Amino acid sequence: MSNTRLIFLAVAAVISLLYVYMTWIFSPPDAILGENVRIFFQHIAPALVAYGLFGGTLLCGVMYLWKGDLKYDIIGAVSIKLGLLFTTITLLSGMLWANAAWHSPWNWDPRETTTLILWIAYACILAYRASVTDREARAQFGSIFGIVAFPMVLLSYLSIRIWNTLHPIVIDESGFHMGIEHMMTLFVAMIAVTMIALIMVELAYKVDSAYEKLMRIRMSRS
Amino acid sequence: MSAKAVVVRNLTRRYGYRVALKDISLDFSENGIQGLFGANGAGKTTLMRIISTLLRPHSGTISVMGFDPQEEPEEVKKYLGLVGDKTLLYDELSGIENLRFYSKLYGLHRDFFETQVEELSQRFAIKTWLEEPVKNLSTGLKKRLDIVRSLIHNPMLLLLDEPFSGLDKDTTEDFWDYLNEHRNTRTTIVTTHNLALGANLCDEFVTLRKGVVINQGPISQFDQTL
Amino acid sequence: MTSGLGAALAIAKKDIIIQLRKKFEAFSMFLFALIAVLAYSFALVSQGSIPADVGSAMLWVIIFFMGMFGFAPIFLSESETGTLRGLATAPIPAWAVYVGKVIYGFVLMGIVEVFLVPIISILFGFSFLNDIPLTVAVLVVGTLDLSAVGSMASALVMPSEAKATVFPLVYFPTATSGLILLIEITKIIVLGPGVVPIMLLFEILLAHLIAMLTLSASVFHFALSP
Repeated sequence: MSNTRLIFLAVAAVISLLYVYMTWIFSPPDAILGENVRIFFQHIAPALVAYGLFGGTLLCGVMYLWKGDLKYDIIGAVSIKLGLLFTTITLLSGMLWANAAWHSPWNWDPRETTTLILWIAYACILAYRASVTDREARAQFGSIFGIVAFPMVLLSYLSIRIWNTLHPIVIDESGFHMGIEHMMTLFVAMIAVTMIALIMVELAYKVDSAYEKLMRIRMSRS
Repeated sequence: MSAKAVVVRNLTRRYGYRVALKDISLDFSENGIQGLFGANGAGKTTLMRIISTLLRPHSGTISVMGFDPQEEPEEVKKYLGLVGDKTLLYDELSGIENLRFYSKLYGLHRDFFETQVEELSQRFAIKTWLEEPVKNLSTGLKKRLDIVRSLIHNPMLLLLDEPFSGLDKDTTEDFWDYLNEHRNTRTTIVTTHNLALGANLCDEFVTLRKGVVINQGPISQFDQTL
Repeated sequence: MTSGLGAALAIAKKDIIIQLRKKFEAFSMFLFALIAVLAYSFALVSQGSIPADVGSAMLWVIIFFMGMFGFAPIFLSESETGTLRGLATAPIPAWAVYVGKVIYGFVLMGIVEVFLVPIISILFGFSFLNDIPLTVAVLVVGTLDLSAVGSMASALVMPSEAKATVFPLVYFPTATSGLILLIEITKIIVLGPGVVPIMLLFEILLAHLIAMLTLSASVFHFALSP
């Protein structure tokens, strides 16, 4: 294990611990929502990271089509899988929050709906990729799909601005609408979840490329 | 015959992890009929697809009529005519409608199109069948119509991928005669695994085996081993 | 040299002629829509009527599902017969092929919608008479949007092993974002102004259409090399 990776892991571990501390102990209960405000940090950080990962899929798609290197396709596919994981966390924590705030876990709110569509759409890309057996075609057409599916991410992100929704708008033109402690906690949560996501992307990439190497060896033997 | 229609240098193409063309270098001279020989899976079709801009090589360079098929595909496509194992005709349309559609894609002038249709349909004896929907034509007539389609824009570079497989005797002879007549004004690249036929028709040859060039040169040096 | 748009129109025209000769595709789409109307009526009719907002939303749901029959064969049929290679090797930009197919998909759906929309509006008991110009604009932009997504979906399904199963997986998720907007706008037309200004929604729909068209057109040459 190289030194930089070790340092990165150590920093990630420290920040993650800080994240746990700040979420559960440091940040004060909200005036209206009380202790439920703590769910909020497990909601918004994974949501933004999931958007970032789907953006990574788009970027990898463009890079693959441009360079034709399977490396980008593997990273793109990994970002879809992890993006789905983080979207799932977002949906679940969102449901907990909704249950606490509005006394019903699912309200067909535009933000909820578009996030669910996002989840289904990227799950469909995974299913689609699995249905293409030719490796080259899977990379090429999977990249195209990853690119043309991206407007969905934008619509999901903008949905709370388009529709008047129940969903609170935390960040708008006038700045952050929350207390300074909550803001600090959110900031640390963002960094921690992003670092965790990056570590997961790297690990998953290693596993997948090792698997591909194995397939290549098997094919060259036959 | 010094000018080159196709120049390939150190070209590699993989399908996933299978190498289809391995660091090959070859030339096809301008004008004349060039043979591309090899058993099934030798990489003939892959090379033909790369020449016709459909596939991207993974490394190496290729130039077709002086253009790079990946950088300037539309320039290359202007010179290309293709005949493959499947006809590129629409069953619901009549022969003349098919030809007219392709002439639009190639941006042919109406007068040029009319004279080409007149001449080629006479030549390949399909004149009386042009108004008939393609689905009503026999396989042989379809094949003739497809040959006319591939020649409608008078291509400088004709790519024939196994053109004689499934072709009846008359059509083969007509096509053969036509190719012979235009030997000096057009470059024709023919892939075939039928070596006896290839040896009779071609001026130069390239033999591929498992993605590697094993022999190339004028047909007089051809030794009929794959 | 044909311009890209000229080639796109030629491709659209060719497909429309083929469709008019086959007839059954458009007709079976129409029949499917009527069956869907019946199926929804079993679920939704209470005391002899359907609420206007539900009915108008159903119109787009039906068109959305009907697109599955209309759009799936757009590229699949050409890749099955092999004629796609003819388009891929013609000297036209790849986006022209895509745009031609989008136009064709739009016309095909449009032909069915001309009959379908009045029938559904009568059966489901809602009226577009409040704002006919906007209704027409939404139908045009909405159908174009679905056609842009559907054509791309059909192209994406080409290399898949299970084409029939996978087409909905590609088409539905990408088309849903347009569908939400269409349903919202249609509800506002039928029921009168809501909380969200209608023009804002329409602009987003337009932006979605433009984004889908430009994104798809710019990556389309990668979809043409099989």
